Amino acid sequence: MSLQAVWFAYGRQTVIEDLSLDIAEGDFFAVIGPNGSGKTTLLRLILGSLTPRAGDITVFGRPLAGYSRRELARRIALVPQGSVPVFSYAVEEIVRMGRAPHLGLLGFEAAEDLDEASRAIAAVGLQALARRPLDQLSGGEQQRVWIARALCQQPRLMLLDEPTAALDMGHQLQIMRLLARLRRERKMTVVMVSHDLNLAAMFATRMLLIHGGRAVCSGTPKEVLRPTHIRTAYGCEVLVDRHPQGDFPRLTLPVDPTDDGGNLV
Amino acid sequence: MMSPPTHPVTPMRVLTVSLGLSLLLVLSIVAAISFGSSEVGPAAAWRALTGGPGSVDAGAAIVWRIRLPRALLAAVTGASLSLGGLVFQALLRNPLAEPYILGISGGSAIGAITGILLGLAHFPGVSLFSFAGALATLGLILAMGAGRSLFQRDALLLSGVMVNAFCAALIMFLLTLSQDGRLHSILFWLMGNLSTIDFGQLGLLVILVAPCFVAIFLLAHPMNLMLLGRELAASSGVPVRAVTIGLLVAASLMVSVTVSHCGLVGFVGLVVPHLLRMLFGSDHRLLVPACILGGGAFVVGCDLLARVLPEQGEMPAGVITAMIGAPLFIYLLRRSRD
Repeated sequence: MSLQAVWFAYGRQTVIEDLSLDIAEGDFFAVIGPNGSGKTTLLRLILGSLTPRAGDITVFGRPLAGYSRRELARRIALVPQGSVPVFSYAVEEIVRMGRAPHLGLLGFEAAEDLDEASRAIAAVGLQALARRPLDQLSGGEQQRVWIARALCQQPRLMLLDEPTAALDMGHQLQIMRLLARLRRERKMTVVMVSHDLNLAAMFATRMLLIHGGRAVCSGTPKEVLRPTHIRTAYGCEVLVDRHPQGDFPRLTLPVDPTDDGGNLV
Repeated sequence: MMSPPTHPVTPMRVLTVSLGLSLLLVLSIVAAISFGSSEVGPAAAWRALTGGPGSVDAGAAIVWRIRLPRALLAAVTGASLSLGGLVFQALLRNPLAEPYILGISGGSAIGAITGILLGLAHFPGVSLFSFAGALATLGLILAMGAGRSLFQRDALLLSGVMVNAFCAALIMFLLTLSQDGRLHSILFWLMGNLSTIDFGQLGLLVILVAPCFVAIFLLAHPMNLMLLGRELAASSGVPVRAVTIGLLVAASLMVSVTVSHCGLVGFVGLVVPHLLRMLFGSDHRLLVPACILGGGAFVVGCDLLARVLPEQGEMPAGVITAMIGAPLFIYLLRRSRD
């Protein structure tokens, strides 16, 4: 998929400015940037829930605007920033809802739809919890439910809005490994918005850094995660070195001995 | 509180549950026909019923002109109000939303009373006024809660309370201005009166509400998805805006024409969907038919109680539904705060 010179504004406030971007099929693509930089807006533009003021978005070789809602839903699935619905649904009920764009008028699942849902539940390892209500699950388990729901849509592209936010370190790693495995097994493109630069550096094949709606830099983690780029986007200094186990960058926050040095003193 | 069952919702299961609840509805209607303040007991009622409407039997007039139309009106009322509650709860993502609590019933009542006082015929005049009243109140609620705050439970409930207070004041204002001889009957109707209907009116009512039932059933699965979030629903292929408008119009139409016939029967839309959710889970493909049938049985039962409990005369069915519904409302409010 690609974006060509895309502009978007809420009212008079420009949020995305002249943004161009190419995501190849099979990429694990991370969109990073500070709060309010336009990451979520970009996600909504790719999702088709917002329409650009100018520019073109092409998905799988066709203009985004040329897809019907259902056609698009069979190709692109969203993993939202999880919330618990007001009424109690079981894990398998939520996952089955991913079949929506494949169902008929009355919205009843056929046997193959139920099989697909079971496969999605197995893919995220939640078989034992399939009948439990979502609200009884931990944060990490809930995130896996939303991923399974999106998988059940059988998308070629999965969009995730900060999938590891509000998770502890162990669950963050678990979710990222799960995404990397699913991408490989299902030959899926994964696009995620993330605040965690180190996790993104570890797993993303390519990334885009945006600031104020404009692209600061895009490329491999090594190309993007440089001190100058981080300073431009986030307004803070970072130390960047090589991860001890692999050829990808590791970011560390420096201490300032002239200011309050924290644990330095 | 027990967790809801999670058997997959298949057409077979929808059919089974619907058949079970149909049986309950039929039984409640049979009971409603068999008992009442007059001497006509179950055996006499059965004879009158099988004898046909033209029968000269003494009980025939009571059964065919009074009890049967009343029981059927109660069934339609229960069906539309329960379904109305279900739809508003799903759309506003608020377990306490209900036509009466939101003030939509009150708005319909104002419209209907205006129509009655203007001397209009029940159909289409009063019904149209009632529909306009419902839409106006709905617009008012949506405008007051414009933006996100609408979906916050407390803001929504408070605006509903205020809309209701305003409607009640306006209704009293209209009534005192009118000095109408029908004042008593209007007051009685306000508390939910199911006694004034004939088969002709009943037929019109069914013609108006039945398409709403069908439309809402067709939108049952999108309702499930929209409960997960509007953005998620849109990304799953649901035309969120069109579905929202369709549901709001269908639910308002259904509730308003029902209110214009039977007045304010409160809390039905709260009691029935919550009870059914506890029994069958939260899937709307099952809950929509269950609300239509179960809601019907519930109001038929409440109306039967309203007729047989008083020593003399009868009380409005709305008294019984409120006595059951208000405590449940407080229970749900407390539980959702924990």
